Amino acid sequence: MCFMKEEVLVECSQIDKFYGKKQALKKVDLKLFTNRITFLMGENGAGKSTLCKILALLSSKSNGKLFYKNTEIKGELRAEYKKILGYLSHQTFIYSHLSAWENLVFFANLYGIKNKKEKIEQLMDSFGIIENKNQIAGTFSRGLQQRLSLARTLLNDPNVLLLDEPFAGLDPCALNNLAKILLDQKNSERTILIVTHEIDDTIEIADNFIILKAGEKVFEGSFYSKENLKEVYFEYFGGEKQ
Amino acid sequence: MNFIKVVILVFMKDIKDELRRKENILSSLFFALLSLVLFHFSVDMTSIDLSKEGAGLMWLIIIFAGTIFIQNIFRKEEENGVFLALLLAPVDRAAIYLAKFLVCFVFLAILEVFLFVLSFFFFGAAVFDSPLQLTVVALAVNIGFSALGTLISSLLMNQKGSSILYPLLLYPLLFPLFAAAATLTQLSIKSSLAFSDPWLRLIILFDMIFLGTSSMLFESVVED
Amino acid sequence: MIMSIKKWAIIFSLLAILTNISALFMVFFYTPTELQMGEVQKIFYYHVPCAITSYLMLFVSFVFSIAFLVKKDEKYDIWAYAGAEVGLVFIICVLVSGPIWGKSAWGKWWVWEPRLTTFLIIFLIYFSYALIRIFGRQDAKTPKIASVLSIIGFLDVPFVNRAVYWWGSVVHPKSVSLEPQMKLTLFVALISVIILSLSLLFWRVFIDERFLDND
Repeated sequence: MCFMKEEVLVECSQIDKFYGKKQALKKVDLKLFTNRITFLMGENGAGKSTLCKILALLSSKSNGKLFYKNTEIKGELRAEYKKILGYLSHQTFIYSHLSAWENLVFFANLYGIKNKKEKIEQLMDSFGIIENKNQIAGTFSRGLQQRLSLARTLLNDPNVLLLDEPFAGLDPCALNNLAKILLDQKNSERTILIVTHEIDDTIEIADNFIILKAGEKVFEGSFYSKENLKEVYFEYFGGEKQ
Repeated sequence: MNFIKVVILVFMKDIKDELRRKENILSSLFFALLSLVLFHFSVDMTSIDLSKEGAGLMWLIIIFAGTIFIQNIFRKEEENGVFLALLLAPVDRAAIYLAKFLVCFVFLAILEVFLFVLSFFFFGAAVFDSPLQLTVVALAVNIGFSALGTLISSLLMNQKGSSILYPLLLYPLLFPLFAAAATLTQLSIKSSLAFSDPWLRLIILFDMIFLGTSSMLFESVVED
Repeated sequence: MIMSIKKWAIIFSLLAILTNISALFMVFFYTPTELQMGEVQKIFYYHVPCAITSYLMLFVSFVFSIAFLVKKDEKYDIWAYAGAEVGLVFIICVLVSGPIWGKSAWGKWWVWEPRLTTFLIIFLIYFSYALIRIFGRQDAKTPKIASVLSIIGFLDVPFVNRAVYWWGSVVHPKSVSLEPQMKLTLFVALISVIILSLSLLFWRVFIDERFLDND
């Protein structure tokens, strides 16, 4: 077994987020390491998506700091950080009246990707959507749309990959495929954060778990089995252990 | 990526999308035609005198028909949450605003050509008497209308009741533009429009202030 | 902070009572009656200050809206909302007092003369602001939408003003020559209305801040 060195790629320090009077996040500290898949879990309204959006610079934090490779993300570093960032949610982020190819070309141009034609073909091929390249994206099945969306997310070879509920609405087969694809994306330059609230077979790809409750981080660590995770999870959120 | 390149990229993508969808463009143009017919019956009109009240009538139709298109300018980004993907990209957000503004500007020009030709055909309106001056007026008004219309559209993205609120927010703000448009159209038909005319200077100042302000405010609007 | 706002609200309320009583005394017992229009002309001593005060309140809303967008602090939004609301109240005062005066002076309730027409359009702009606040009471994005509207609405005001003046004929003169007693009364009335508007502004902010802190 080869030991892959892990480094802190992204760090949150004492992040608060207020929506008016409501505090969605409370002094959250978080470290994302290279070569790791981290699952961010918690019940609905725990602040998972909010934290994910802050990490993606889609939402501003009320307090606290964000670091990339130990440098605070502000000023010019914001634009640099965006170049190596990939974000995916349960929404597909694709233009439904453009073809799969046109969607990817548009985003490749937006990111200034060199050799975009080869890159897009390679991604479409590896996600099994090359045959649908001229098909209008709005006519795709949910699973196909998710794969197209993931191809779009990986266009810029992101070092920081943030996925907000990527497994939502997928059938078991598509779910497994996606989990395998994500496992393949792990490498020594990249960190992957997956937001989910489901405890199912996909957790097997996770190296690390963070649990949020009412905007606060209540747990961080790893589990040796699904049952072990369920035990800890239900300790925080109640419900029946199965 | 270069600012101008981003503007062109988003602009071309939007044009392609609009031409493919067609519903926004067709609805708007159809509304313009409907309005002309309705006005004929409502005010028993057989001719439009653009040097008098006909000018105001034409601009009323342009504002209403233009609204149908402009209020939906961000609709394609609301679908599938794709606007977030635009915001994720390492591009200046003002470039996204300007691209949308240009799409609205181009559409309004198409709408005006359509409407002026129809009004010539149905009512013998004297649109070809001073085409250059009329064009200058139309383009100047389009800038202000597109600037404010695009900003308000972005404000109401993903908001409940946006189609009701949109005209309520936009129309009072457009009053100075509307008044100037009607007056300048009357003057241009009479071929007495001078480039030093105070109304024209008002529109130009209006355009500069609101295009600049809207570009700056857009960043605050789209940020969570 | 709440206590100091309440303190200012009380102080300005007392001042408003005093100054307005003085102003009303001057209007009815000190200032001479205008020759052509008679007693009804005295509406002028509140009509004009209401107009000026409404602009002042809209400016307050404008400034605090910018501050809210920059600082993202809800407290600035409270001031911006209060400024717009109080401004709207005084715009309505102008639109009510104007026709009352107009009916007597010109025989019609409404004449499309520049000043009233300008205020009618400004009313429409800020009423749409009020609609946004009412419709979007529970929406987290409403303060941001309202702030943008307040900024562009205020920037639009000078354009509305110019457009209306150039559009219609001027029914009443742009500048009026006043006797010294009339000028003094107008000045006192202006100060009293401004103080009244500030007291309303402070009370409005106090109510919202107390609501914010109780939550």
